Amino acid sequence: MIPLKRRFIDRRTVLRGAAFGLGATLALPVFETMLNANGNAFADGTPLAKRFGLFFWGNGVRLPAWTPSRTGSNYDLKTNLQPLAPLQSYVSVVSGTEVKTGNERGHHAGCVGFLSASPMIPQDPGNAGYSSTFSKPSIDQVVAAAYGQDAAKRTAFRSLEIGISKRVITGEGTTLNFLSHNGPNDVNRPLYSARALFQRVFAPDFIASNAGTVDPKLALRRQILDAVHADATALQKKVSANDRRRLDQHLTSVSELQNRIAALEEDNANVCTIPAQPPEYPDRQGVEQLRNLSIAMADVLALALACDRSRVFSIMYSGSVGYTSFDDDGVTEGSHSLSHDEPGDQPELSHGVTITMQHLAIFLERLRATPEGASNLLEQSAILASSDVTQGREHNIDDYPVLLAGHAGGALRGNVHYRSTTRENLTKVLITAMRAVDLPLANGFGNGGGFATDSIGALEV
Amino acid sequence: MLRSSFLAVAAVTLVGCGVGVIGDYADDAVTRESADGPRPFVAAPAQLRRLTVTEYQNSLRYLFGNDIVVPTDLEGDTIINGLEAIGAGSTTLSANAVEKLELAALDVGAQATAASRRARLGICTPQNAGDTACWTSLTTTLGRKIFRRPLSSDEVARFAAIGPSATNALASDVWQGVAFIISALLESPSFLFRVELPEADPDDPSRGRYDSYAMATRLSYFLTHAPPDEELSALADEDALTDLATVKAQAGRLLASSGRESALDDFFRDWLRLERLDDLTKNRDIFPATSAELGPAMREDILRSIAAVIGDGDGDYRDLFTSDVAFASAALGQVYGVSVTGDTRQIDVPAGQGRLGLLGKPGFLALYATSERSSPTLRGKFIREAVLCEAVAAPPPDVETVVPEPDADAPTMRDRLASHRTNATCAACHSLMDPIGLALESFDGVGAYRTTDNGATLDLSGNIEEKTFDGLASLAEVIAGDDRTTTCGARTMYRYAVGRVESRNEEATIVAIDAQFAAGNYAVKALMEAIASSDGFRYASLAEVQ
Repeated sequence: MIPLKRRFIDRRTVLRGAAFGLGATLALPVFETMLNANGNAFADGTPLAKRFGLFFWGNGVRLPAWTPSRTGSNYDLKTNLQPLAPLQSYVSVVSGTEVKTGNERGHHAGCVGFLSASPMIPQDPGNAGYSSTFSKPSIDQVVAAAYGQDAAKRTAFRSLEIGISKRVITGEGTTLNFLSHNGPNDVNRPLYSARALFQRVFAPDFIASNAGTVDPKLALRRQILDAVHADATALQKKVSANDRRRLDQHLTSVSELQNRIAALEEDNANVCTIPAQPPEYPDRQGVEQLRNLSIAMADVLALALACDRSRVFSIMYSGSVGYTSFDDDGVTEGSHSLSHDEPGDQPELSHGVTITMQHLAIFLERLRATPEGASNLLEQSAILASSDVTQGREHNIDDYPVLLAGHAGGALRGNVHYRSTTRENLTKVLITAMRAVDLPLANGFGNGGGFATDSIGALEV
Repeated sequence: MLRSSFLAVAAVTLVGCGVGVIGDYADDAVTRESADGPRPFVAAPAQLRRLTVTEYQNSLRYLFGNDIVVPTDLEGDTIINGLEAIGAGSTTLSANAVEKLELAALDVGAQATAASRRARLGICTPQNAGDTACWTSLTTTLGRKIFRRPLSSDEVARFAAIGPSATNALASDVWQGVAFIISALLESPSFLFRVELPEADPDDPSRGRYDSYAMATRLSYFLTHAPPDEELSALADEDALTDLATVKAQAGRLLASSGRESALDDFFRDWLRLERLDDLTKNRDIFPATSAELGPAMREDILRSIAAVIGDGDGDYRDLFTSDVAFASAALGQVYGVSVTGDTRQIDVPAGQGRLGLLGKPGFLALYATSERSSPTLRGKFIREAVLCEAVAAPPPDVETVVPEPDADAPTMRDRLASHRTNATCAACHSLMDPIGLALESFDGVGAYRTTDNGATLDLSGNIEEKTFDGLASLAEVIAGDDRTTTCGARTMYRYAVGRVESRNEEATIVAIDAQFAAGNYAVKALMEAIASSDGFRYASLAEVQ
């Protein structure tokens, strides 16, 4: 069993922090007293942690309302991107790149190409309904795996998965149903409730052990998981290669849970004051409360990142081919239907994209408002945002709409519109984002047509 | 009759509406039939199957009593190739799933050892942490039930050791020890997965067959949606379930039990994707009958109507498409055009609507529609794929796909979808879907009856291959009378029963099942018996086993 290494501080440090008159900010684990004179690294020179995030929405955009006219810094904001105006110094726009993994099937190919830089696996045996899945992990899991192998970057949760709109397509395989993939048919489902996310990240027993005594049941729970581990390992010897792979994932999940329980027993994981749990936002008369839910999710996510419960997250805002509507803003038809039914420039569909950007801005604002030393969480993050197609009506995957937000601890410039005039590989944007959070990717990244070796220098410092 | 269904599958390919592939479908040279009929049967490999959410909950009820509070905060099931049952055979347990299952196991362990439930566990009471004989005995007993097979001595030792640990850690309470042993067994993959292993067939050691323990779980979860009962478990212990006659006798016994209804409910829920009715989304301005209660009421209507048609199992599968049985709540009554007050009750569907069978159910009509209008394409696609088992390809990329707004020249969906017929690229696939869906245009996006759309009268005529129809009533007769419908029902239920899409080398087993289904006058029970005793259900390849 590997005890969880806590890079930041133990409870006694928190108490000392409180003694210095910082009690009101107990929710934040990084105190200025622990940092160097500039507040941008720990006193011993260790840089502040970086975070990596994905934000995904379904059914693309209408390019005339999306792509800035001017390239370079201080680009102009078209209607869709107006909600990001207060954050422009943190947000770069990439246009003109292309998904190079083929467009075998509209929506599916773009999802898999953008999220994994690899081709999709079609699953159409005869007449069993068309489905597809990922051939490789999505890039949130690529970053999570790299961090998991580094004791200085390992966190209690390898990654956090958030879903906002539940109007997703469940019948066409894992590609449309889920964002975060470990491999084919192997997914990390999002939580659609801020309270459920809160309870997962700040579990009740986690809070309880704050009192200073160690719950004896924690050791028993680990003993159970040891038995489960032995059982799964024995079972692997009796099953097919594919089932061994499935049990591997189960074993990984069991190990992660054991590590978290071990961390609770050490009683030093509780550096964060736990706020009241967030309210639930169930549908009202069949209408989703997308804005309220985004606010609540952003609060929990910022707290989880600030407390270093995880450094990797994904937000599936709406699903590919999904039927999210924005009834409170006058968009009552689902977005996929709109993308095919609405004539002309599709103003209603486009308005939905603008609202989606409003809600992305809620997350980005919350991260910017969460200080970390002299920095803030958005400053420390690289967040890649895109969709499953360029324009839903055409199902095209060239001139892909992509945003790259956050400065990744000074690695990313922000406030740049980079327009590729040579239909460059979208994977280069993925490489830019991952290198910004310290994955070397020395041999390039991606598979098949999605393979690329270079980042986009114009986006980097 | 059977031959015609194969030709129909081939015809879909001929019109250029091709599909992608997995498994042996990746090899186009492998076809379902050879020159002399279906390919010879070759068994597929065994696979682990996660208990689905409802299988998990039913298993806990069977083990610890119907009065326990079953956990509901669990990771949901994933549909792959049209069925959650197939997803259960191919997906994994994520980190969050394991977390939820751990909390659920701790909760159930505590419930099962509450003072009021201890007696029904049928185990000894340990005197103290050092009562090794009793810890071993109770672990053996509980493990046999929870794992659905006997435990090895290593396994017994591993799980039994948890009891004394917990007793010592928790105030010498031996029942805490029992609770933690139960929790541990419930967290094991040997419980959470259906581990169905093959053994060499003594009659022909080159081929594998599912062993008796595997057959017990295959029969019980398929036919009763629950774990093996005492009789099946005893037969597994006697290694009697590799015998075909015994399998048939047990299938008959299980199908006569109340478990059959639960099993059929789950099959039809999965096949028709009824879970989506839980969050049915409709524009309330257009469909004022919409409410949070409507979707679940639609689901209840469908499942109760199916149960009424099938009855004790002798009901005819084809009647599912022509029956006029319906059940409505007050909200659903509005959609049907019938006044219902109080609880859900059986109703008479108003005469003259031509509303018959599953395809006339508001639940089906509302699911295969957008939030603001009907969708002949979605309805037709579902009927082609899920009812007739025919492939429909995805739309090609980079094609402008716009359904124009209605206007005076094009008020109806038939008018608005004209480009699907006149553009040859679109027509290749839409000619398979739209004509069927347009026959259902007398029902709007929430499934209510109408005679006009945007003021224009409706043309409900169409054809499936050479068979013509005019509206749902005649479409229902065409569907019910088509051999593809019953073959597809057999194929789909086979996939549900084995938890995967059949390989092409299993076509012979599908043909045999279909023949038995026909010989049994398409009684649903006959189909279930045929599947349970089929080669594909009983044999597994040994090739993948180490």
